Amino acid sequence: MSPSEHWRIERQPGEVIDRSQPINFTWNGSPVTGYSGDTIVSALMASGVRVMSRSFKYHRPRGVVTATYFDPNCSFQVGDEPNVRAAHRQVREGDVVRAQNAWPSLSFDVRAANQLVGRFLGPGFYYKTFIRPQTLWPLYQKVLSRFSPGGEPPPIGTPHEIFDKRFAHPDVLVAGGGPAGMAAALGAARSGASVMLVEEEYELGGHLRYGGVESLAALASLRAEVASFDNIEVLTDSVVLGRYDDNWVGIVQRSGMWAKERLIKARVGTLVVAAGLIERPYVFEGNDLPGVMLATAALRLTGLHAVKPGTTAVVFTANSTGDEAVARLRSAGVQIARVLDARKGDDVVRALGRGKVTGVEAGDGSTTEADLLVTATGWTAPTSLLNMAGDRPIWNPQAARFTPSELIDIRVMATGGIVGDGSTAELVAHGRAVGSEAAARARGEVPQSVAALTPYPHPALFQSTTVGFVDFSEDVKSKDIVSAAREGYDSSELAKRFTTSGMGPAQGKLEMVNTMAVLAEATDRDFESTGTTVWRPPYAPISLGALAGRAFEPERISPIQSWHNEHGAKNMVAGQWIRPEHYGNPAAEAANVRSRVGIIDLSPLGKLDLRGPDVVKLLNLVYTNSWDNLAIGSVRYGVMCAEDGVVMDDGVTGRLGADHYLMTTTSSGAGNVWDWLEMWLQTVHREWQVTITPVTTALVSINIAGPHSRELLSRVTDIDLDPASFGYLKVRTGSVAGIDDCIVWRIGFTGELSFEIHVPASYGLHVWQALLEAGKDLGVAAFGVEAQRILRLEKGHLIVGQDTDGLTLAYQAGLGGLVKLGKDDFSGKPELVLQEARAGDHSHLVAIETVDPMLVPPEASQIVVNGNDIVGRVTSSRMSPTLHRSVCLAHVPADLAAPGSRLTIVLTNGDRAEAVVRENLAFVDPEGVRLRG
Amino acid sequence: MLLIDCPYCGPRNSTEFRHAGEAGKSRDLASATPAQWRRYLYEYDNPLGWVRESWFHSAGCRRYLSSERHTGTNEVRWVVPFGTAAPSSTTDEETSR
Amino acid sequence: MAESSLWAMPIARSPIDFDGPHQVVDGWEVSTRTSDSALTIADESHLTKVVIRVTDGHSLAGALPPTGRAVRVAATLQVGSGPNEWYLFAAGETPDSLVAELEFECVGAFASWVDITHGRALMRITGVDAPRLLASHCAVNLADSVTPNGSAFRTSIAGVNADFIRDDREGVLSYLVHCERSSGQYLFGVLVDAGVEYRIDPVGIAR
Repeated sequence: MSPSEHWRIERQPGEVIDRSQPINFTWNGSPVTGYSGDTIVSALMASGVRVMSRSFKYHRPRGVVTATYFDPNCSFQVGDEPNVRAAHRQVREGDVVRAQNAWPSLSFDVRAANQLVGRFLGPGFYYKTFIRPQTLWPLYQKVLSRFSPGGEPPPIGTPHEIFDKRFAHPDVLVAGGGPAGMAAALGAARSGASVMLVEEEYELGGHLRYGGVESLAALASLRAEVASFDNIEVLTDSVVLGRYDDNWVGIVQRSGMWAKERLIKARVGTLVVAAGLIERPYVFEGNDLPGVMLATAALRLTGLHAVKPGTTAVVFTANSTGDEAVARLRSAGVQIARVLDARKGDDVVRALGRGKVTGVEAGDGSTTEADLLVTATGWTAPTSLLNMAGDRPIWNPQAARFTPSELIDIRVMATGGIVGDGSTAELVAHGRAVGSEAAARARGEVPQSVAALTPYPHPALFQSTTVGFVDFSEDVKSKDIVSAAREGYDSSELAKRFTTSGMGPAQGKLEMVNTMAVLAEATDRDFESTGTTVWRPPYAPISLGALAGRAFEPERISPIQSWHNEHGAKNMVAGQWIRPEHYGNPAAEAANVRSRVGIIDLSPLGKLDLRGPDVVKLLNLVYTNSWDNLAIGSVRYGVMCAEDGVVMDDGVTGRLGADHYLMTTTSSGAGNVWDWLEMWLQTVHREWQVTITPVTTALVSINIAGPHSRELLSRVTDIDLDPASFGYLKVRTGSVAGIDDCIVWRIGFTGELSFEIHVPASYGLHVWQALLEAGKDLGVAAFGVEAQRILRLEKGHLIVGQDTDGLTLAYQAGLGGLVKLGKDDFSGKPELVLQEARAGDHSHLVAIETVDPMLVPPEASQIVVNGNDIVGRVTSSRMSPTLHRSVCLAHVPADLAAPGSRLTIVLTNGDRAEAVVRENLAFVDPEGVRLRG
Repeated sequence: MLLIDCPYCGPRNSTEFRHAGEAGKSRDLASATPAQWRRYLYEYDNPLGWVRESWFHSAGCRRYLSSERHTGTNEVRWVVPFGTAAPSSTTDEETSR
Repeated sequence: MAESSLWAMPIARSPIDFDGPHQVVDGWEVSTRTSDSALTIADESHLTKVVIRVTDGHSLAGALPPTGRAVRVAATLQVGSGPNEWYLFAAGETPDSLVAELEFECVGAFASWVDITHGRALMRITGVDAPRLLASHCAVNLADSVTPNGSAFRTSIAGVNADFIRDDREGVLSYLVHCERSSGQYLFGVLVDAGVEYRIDPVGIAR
């Protein structure tokens, strides 16, 4: 007989294992065989494994307690996946399963010595111990992480699995697929609602699954009825994580689809919480020994997996579930050595044994030999989702559990054990009524109340006369809570955080009520005045992968990007745009513009098509300068300030027709400027007749810059480029490279003679290639963003966001000349009026020259006085290929802004460099001869 | 996540909107003193209770909207196009739900 | 101005890098790929596209579908894409011919139209699984009761603002997805990636 056969009992009516499908896996390197449908833990129990882990602090051996997802002792490493809930996860062929938190092995753990020094590991140990000196924090971290219970994450570089996401809009979402939850789904579906039924386990049924034949018969008929409705979507191995504003509900689906996990974000009409009840452990000495388990765990192992959890059992029972466990264990061939009935005053004082249960000491002092101690001492209602909807459940002393108070949000309802008790028929009837009402509320009908389901009376049992564990996963004992109360942490929230009781993976589902009971007794209060802690999302742990979902990062590309990639572009990301930073040698690209001609792809340039009789009013309002006299065929540069006078954006706007303008913005500011213009039109000047259409990506923008730019453009356009008729700051429309309706204007960001052309985007690549072809003999070459930055810096043109920041006023950016305070109104005017009077106090944007011409101070280098007082900063800094020296822009205080002022710049390595303020912002061609050529 | 019932698009997640500030601030160029102007720029009432505010439906209809929301419960009582008269609801402390 | 063979016959290119074979139709490079998959994605960026904007009180608002509705008028799809805003989509037309029948003059209000043919990407997803595919990124309810055939709405999908137009084809669920051009390739990739589960397959333009 194999070990597995020894613990596997005869076929059970509700078993979920398939005995024809053996599953082979390894446990700490040794081969184990289970059956399809086994959880990892049930397969291990069937093969005789009893110690599942070592505890968090004291490294005590631990076994199965709940045999559910929330079993505090059954988190395993499976392959490269850490923290797998092995009492839930179905075992798969070839799984490599290892215990966590055991070194060097599960049976011999050197850190179990922690038990001997347990008094040093009392509550608040970490808070009190690892504080000073701060310099040792990295060391503390190393020590603590070796002792922490988590598994090993996959090594960096492991190909990640697919984590999916989807949105859903069910009329009714039922959290919990037990009898009441299934009935609620049926009640809602019957009235035509779309229903999502979410069950944490792999199958619907809740406690009916491991009940007797009558339960199984009821389950079969409920399942069949659920399956008959197309409008019920059943999600198993899935859990509702949280409920947020307006019934926004998160659900994680853990299996049964193509992706590893899927996060569902549901906007729910009515949420029905049918989370059932969670059995509560009992606190007594030795209650964490392997072999001490809950009645529901014994029922699950026997009923679902046909596994005998022990040979000789003592059952401590206070309810019918405990009584059922007695009968079940007996029929499974477990000898029942003694039944202790709490309803008759019996008690358990301690479990005896080292590393496993060998006997049980009862309240009467007698001792019984046993390898299994089953307790059935009461229930905790997992009201988390109701708490998240604003409910504050109240303690029901007769039933010894919390029940919902008054659900204040009509879009949230509850049914099943969380509300009260009843026969299967009563639970189903309540569920159906709640489901039907939930559907009616989702349709917007006036809420009706549903007859209540009352809880059965239950003795209030929490702890025996001995000290035991309250929180298995955090290794917190009842005496730790008592001592916390003595130290003054006598409020429930404080005691929880100080002792960490309820802060482990189960988040209080097993621990909270016992913690409160111990605290109430220690502080001589009743339950109500002790208060409880608040359940917060997520209801169950969720993997970071599921939260991250699909990896996506929006990126925007120009129609010319394929050419850039084929020609050696080194790309950069600017906002969401992928742009060529350079094609290998930015200095050479810049030099080519100064000496011959270059072209740059400016597609990301923000562009807004403005039309209507009132456009000029809008321009006067949003720009600081005047737009009254802009003639058709002309363009003008403008600066936008926010209402606080801070420079917001800048750009060129051209007048294409009587009521037709094309506005350009910075690449990154295009969206904000559009929103902002709509704000003025929709909320302040609703009477103005202006329409705005974003055309950023409708037009590919190409700047042709350099002394040969006119010659190059003339070869491909029918527009008359004669400077007498097409001067600086003029705009013309015409055909370029055979493409009609191109817009061409003359501006000079680079400081060179240049033409900016805006081409229908689908022909962008065509025009780009035509320019390169037509200008071969002129030495035309593409230039990238870096070359453009060098060129504009040589010319002293600022970049909003680079040479200004979120505090830079127009006057500080050297843009005072563009502020026309005489205008009736414009954005920022009141603030700029106030600031103008104080212009002398402001910092100024100036051009500076380092005394050492070869020194290029890093951008953002600080400018200091008196040793270390920071008074300014370098905003832009490059080596100029034209001047063969460094060129910089800087913000300096007013008293250092005069030409010739000497500045001290702090370099990255701490060295100081001297620099001098220049007369003019422009280093190259300050008179503007080139660009006006 | 807050659900905002856009008068043009129907109920949408609040992530589609940009909060555009408390309503009722007036941009009074002619008579605002420097102190009043600074208050207009930087100070918000932020009370606990019903507030009127503006939202911009940037990912949807791209319209500015006016709404009334309870800052304690996050209940949005009504949303109308900007400049439309508010529905005849009160701004007292009673909740409609 | 010199003539060059390079620009004798300019070809318009979609923002989406789409599987071939390709051919040139109406000056656009389009795919003629075929597919018998139950869920397909097609590139319709070559359609002529116009946006119409009006100020409040304009008479055009009565002549075009209301916000949230799309209707076919002859070969043109008219889309009420927002308050005082419409799209017109059609194959092989010029922008001028698309708007030729519309009356833009109106006392007291202003109207404009702008050719956005080259500024937008347009995709069509067809198949019974299309709503499930879109629900992986789209938070708007795609149920028939909320967005029936002929619905149009704008929302954010995978970080990009896009218009959705439910435009069923011979009784089969079909959605047009419309976004600004530079995000077209990205959004195409997102949709194809989300559609792997449903065996999505690119399909060219049937001629």
